[in-house]
Amino acid sequence: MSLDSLLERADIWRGDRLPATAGIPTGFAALDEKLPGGGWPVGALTEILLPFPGIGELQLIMPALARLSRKKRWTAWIAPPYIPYAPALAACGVDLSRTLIVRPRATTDGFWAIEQALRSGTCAAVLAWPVGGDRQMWRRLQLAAEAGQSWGVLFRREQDMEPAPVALRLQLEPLPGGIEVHILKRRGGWAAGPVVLNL
Amino acid sequence: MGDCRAEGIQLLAGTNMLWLCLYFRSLSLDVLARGDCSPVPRVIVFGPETRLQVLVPNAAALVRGIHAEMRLSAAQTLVDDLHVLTRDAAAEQAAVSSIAAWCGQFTSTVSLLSPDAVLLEIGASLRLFGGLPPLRQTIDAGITALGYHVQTGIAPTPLGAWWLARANIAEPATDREQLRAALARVPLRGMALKSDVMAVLQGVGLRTVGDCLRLPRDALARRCGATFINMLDRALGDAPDPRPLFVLPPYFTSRLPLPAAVDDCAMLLFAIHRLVLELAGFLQAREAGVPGFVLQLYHPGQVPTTVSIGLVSASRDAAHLLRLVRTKLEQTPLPDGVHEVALVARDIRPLAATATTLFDTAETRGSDHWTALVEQLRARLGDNAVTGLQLVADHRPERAWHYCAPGEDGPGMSDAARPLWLLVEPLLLRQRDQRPLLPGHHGALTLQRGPERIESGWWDGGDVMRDYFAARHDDGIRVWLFRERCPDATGQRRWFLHGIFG
Repeated sequence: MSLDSLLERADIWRGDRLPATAGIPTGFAALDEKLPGGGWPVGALTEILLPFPGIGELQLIMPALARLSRKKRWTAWIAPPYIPYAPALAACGVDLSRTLIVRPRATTDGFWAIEQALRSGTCAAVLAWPVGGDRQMWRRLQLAAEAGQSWGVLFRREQDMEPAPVALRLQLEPLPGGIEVHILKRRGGWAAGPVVLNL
Repeated sequence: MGDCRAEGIQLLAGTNMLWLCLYFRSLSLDVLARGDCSPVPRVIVFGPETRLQVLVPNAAALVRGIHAEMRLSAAQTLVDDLHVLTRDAAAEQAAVSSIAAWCGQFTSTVSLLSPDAVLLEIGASLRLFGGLPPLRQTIDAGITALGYHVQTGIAPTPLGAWWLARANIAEPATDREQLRAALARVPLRGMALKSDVMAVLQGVGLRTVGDCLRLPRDALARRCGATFINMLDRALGDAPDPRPLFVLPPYFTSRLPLPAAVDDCAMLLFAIHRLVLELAGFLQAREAGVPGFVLQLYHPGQVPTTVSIGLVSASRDAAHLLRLVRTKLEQTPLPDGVHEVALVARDIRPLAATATTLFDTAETRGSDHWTALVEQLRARLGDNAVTGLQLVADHRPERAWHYCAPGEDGPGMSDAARPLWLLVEPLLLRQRDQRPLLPGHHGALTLQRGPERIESGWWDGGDVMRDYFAARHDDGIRVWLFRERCPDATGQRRWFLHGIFG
């Protein structure tokens, strides 16, 4: 057993970290180190801010989705901007038979669907591309994520900024050969300096 | 005596049986009013048109001073806006059958005793339901949720249970000594006697069953006939009393008239809730589930609105079924004034008793309940908006995948060189000096990988001949492009954007 896999265990507590419920390991050790719980927060929302889609935001979450797939957990994709491409997802280790694609027509239907998916307890991860939204809506989604113990990921364009009250907010910037992840907000800690990930 | 229309097997009265009788004193009112939760003073009337009498008043009418057998004209002077309903015997008969079917979840031995009473043999069910008090409470609460007022009697004989229920003597009589003591307190009207026998007994000053039992048998037989003596013997357990077994109908159908036309979705749901509970009990009795059902909403003078509820997998979970109905109704435009609702489920499928897993973790919960989420989403968004993804064995990138039913998988190949996002249609790109330009992004595209030649599909007319490239834009976005191998009419080879690496 390597040290890293030992430290991933939920029952190992490290003194230099704030206690937090175990997160879903991101698959990037440098990022896990900076996240409370050592990974993506469960039962809470994660907001990922992008200048535009396509800079590596999906590759950032693929290791976590593959990990959930190995446990036969469900992932819902709600109002994705393009078609999630099955051959590439399968190559990343995503179990397509545990993948739900929801394509609502209206914006209000989209928020309703996100809330249902988060709250149901079925989906370990809910990936959503919301348009608009207000404080009250974000609050509802946050409560739904808590109720369903789901990892809710909201992908948003930087210019849409009415900041959502979330447990974790990341901002991504493209780099040649990777991305730079700025942690703007995290539970039980200050904002932290950028992490460079090679994708 | 008991009107036992149900065909079926005759049951022998066993020695260790315990009967629970459900007696519906206000059945004629409940049948017509259970779809409405508003406390309007309301009565059921009977009799000739010119001399209508109150048969049953509801609680709101009782507090205003209206009682049974009062003349309707007198009742209307007490309450101006009294809601008057006429008895519907056919609806009552259907209701008692539905209740009997619902009762099948507690015992396999259900019998129709009279037009307003249902018998359950519960001796064999006590252990399963944790004893008599919990079982009785479950049944009482369930019947109340269906919208009926019920009095229950419990005794070792069917007639004994019926008489105790009619007399509203709630303490259970679990053996014959207790039964004899309890029955002694039952007034004569609790026995549902023919009027001539009743007149004879009242004529000699008898008031209770106990009074009858104190008289010499042969004297009583001379006055009231052998039938009456035999009835007493059956009630006390001294004579056998076989009962016809109620046979569960093959499919579910139940109607619920609404006392006042309803336009409001919440009020409609209140009524439908009752029907869904009936359905759930019926399914529990059969250890079955439904893959869908139909609601029919009746409007005056119009064709009924039909609302179909479809499920991914069969279920009998009342809360879940009702959620689906609510979501679906919110999407359904309703014509004005619904005056009756019917629920019909013809496709009944076996469904094992709900097994509670030892380790009720998020993992097992998630896999068991995913169909519920899919059904919920589909009820509002439509079937096509909620799908799974599958691989398809085809070399053309746009045909190497497909939307499918959630939970399915296909036989195609995964490919790590493919982008995570695919465009719905390849997007034609402008080009400068034979190099493609990305719309909305200034700066240049740098080809990083390729060409990968894909030639396929000549056999079905969807043939493609393309050279694919992975490229990176100065902005940081990584895209998947192809260039057609054949020049177009202007002699140029066109560039298309087909995916984004994400």
